[in-house]
Amino acid sequence: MERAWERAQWTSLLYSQARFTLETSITDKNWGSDMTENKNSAAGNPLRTAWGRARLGTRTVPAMMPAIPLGILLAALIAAAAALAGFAPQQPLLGAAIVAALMALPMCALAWAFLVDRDSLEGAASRPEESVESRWYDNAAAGAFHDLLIFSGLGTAVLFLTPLEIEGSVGLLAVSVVGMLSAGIRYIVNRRRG
Amino acid sequence: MENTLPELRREHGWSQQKLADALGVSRQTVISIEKGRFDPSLPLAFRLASLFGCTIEDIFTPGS
Repeated sequence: MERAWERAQWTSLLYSQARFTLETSITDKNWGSDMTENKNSAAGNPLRTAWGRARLGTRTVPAMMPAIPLGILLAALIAAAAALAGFAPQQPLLGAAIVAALMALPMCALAWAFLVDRDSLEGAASRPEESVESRWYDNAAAGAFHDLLIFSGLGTAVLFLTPLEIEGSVGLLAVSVVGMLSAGIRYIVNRRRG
Repeated sequence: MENTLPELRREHGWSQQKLADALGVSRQTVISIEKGRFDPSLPLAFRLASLFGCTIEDIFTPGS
């Protein structure tokens, strides 16, 4: 239950970045009417499930139903692109299969995040942008941005002043890892502070 | 900011989860507000006041 709640909160934060404007424009018109019967509230809605539901036309289906095939399709497309780009030229089929296998789970998760109706998720708050988790995320993102500025600035200075040379892809990978680690650690620290 | 939210909530016999559901936020948000670690947004403060039938000043006071 705790893990389902954590998952729902993360999904809320990620998804709310895309739907923030639309949701606030709709829900803010209703909050003053009857707060005790908030129809968007996390409790009391029997249709809410741990993995949520997705809208397909006029009906809804479990979100995993379209997310899994779509994720596998996306992974196959990426694998095909990798094979065409010359990844593992000695054994392109094996290389493509490995890429597809590695990308399947992240692509299914990505497809689920885009397809799921957040209001159908168990434990999801109807106004995640006003929750404390949103503040934690904002603080972590702002801190990570400053960390990246410092890291990339110092790294650039080191590369200018020393004979050290690194490939662009390695440098970008380092920047990505630093950004993700910084944001993740800062979020955890914020959460522990409450 | 200091607040009287725990007392108001108990007077109404509400759990933190019920209050969170009524406000449309997470339970952790209610916990953080009650502990004074999270200052709610103005719309959320107005919803709290509306929910308890009082003014924002009745709930929140500037900290020392």
